[in-house]
Amino acid sequence: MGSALVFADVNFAEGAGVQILKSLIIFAVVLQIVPIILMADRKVMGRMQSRYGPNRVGPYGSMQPIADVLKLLSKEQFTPRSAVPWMMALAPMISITAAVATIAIIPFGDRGMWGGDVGLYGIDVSIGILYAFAFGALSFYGPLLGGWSSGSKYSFLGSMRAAAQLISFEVAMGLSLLGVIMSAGTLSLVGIVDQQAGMWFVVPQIVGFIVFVVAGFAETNRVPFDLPEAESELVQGYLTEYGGMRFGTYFMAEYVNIITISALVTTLFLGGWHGPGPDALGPLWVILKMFAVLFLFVWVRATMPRLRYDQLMSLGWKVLLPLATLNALVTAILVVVT
Amino acid sequence: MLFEQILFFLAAIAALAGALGVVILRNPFYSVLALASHLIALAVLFLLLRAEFIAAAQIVVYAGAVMVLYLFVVAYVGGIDEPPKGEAGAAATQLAPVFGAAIAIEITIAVVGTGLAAIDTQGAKLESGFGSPGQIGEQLLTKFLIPFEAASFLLLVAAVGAVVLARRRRGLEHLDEPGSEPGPDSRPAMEGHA
Amino acid sequence: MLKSYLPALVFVGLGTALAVAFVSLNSVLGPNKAQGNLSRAKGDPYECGLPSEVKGNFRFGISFYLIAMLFILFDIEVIFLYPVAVQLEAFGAFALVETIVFVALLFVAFAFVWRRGALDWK
Repeated sequence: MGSALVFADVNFAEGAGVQILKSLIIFAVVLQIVPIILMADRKVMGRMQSRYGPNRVGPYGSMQPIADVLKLLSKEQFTPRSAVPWMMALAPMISITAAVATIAIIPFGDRGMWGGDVGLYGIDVSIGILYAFAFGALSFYGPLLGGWSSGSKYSFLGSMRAAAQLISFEVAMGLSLLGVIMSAGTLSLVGIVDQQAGMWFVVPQIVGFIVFVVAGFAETNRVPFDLPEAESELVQGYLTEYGGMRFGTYFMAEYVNIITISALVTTLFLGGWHGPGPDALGPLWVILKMFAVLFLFVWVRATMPRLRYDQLMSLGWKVLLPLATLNALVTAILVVVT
Repeated sequence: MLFEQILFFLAAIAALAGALGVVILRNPFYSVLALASHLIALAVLFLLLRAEFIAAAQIVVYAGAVMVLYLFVVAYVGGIDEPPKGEAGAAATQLAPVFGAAIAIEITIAVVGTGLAAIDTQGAKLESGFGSPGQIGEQLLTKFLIPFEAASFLLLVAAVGAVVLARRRRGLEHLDEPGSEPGPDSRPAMEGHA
Repeated sequence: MLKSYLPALVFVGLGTALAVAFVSLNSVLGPNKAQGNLSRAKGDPYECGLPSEVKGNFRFGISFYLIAMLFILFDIEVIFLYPVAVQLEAFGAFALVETIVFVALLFVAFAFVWRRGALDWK
């Protein structure tokens, strides 16, 4: 059975210096996407609602994210009397650290695509997608500890909601990828993209794709699944007692997670770096496809009303979970028969 | 190699600290968090042993899922920091050191019994692909086929058990509900949003 | 093999650095008043105008416990099925049968849970 383990590329590693350098570059590039998305979120949604969106700071309002961060940084830091201050500081740190750590798994290109024997990704290991799930599981502690330590009932309710929502959709998310894994025969994301040279997995795995995207929306607390911070019910959910840059940290973690999810959709279903043109264009294709998925995030936000909590839970458990399981079974039969 | 050793000692210390925290901390919420950090440190140790898949599974299942259940149970019980009451509790406190000592002696015998022969070696030779999901899958389908299928049966039993137990508890919940707590019931915060 | 995890460590380090900077910058750049003497209203947790009635601990519904329990079950299913899915093509029909038996048993559990109404959020 050794033949199935031939994706031995996962044992490949550059020298330590190259690895650190490429990590820093990927980190810098992905971090640049955050303000772009922040801006696009408001601009595009503004246009969809026949408004301008922010247009005062800088040309076409493009300096708005910087102004926002400066404002957040100049706030006073205080915690309510009923709070546990050290844990209120720790909670957003967990969120952002887990979010940033997950970036490492995004493959922007194959080995040697831009010359040299360098893989254009942070890590490519045999557990592949499980790496993302592991850090996703840890990021769950961010909202939960934040809400618990705030000592406010809105925060606590919001954090419990966030936790229940995260776990409900994580299951559907995990199951929806079974089809892709069966077709590709590997968990390594680079291996999965390699398998999509002929056809993107979005075509045979359309059900898995839909389940994954919907679950991805829910995992990142985006509209229509933003119940943990539903302002009409829970003030701001687990964020109620947060202000200043700690609030900003949660927000940034959320945007980094959105970027990671769109990158995972690109990698798992949309063929990663495959596209017309020479190989060297691969990373550009990845980023282009990521932006297409991110546009979908904004579009949905401008279109869909928020779900009710019981609808949300039944969507996760009664619709997505059976769908994903059926998809896995059908794929298993097709993979073995053909 | 040195780097690996540093990482090992850091993770080992974190694992021990977490384990101690579970026992020492009085607030059950903090105990659960200590347990979570202990489990994460264990995952790092697994990774250092080249067991990649086990490390990931450790975090996804234990730190990510079992701890969620613990936290929800603490939230359900209310995080009361009182020592266990009643005769069972008292007896448990009396017997705990005895059992603890017994386990400590057992482990010491087991460890010393190996003669610590392996401690200066590099350990067993690893085949390529060791600890990868592919190899685990191969093992599950050959050597550990029956445990694999038994696991699904176990999960079935667990699901049935959870539902039956929750049903029973739900009856109790209605008894102590009126006015005892600030608005906790089995439907948190859904009202007021038509 | 462990070498290929080095970037992960770098990213965790970068994330931690970012986190420390973000969380502590406010105390440096923002207005600095002693945390100890917050005025009464400022130190209170948020409330919509009413006096705050927060106690040290909360109690919560059993639905959350059930959801978490089911989550564990299906999470374990996912963890078991991933490595088998990787080997599905190599083992062929044999792995297919085993997968179907595994999933079918869990589906029985799922159907039972559904029938008993544990998935209805109340």
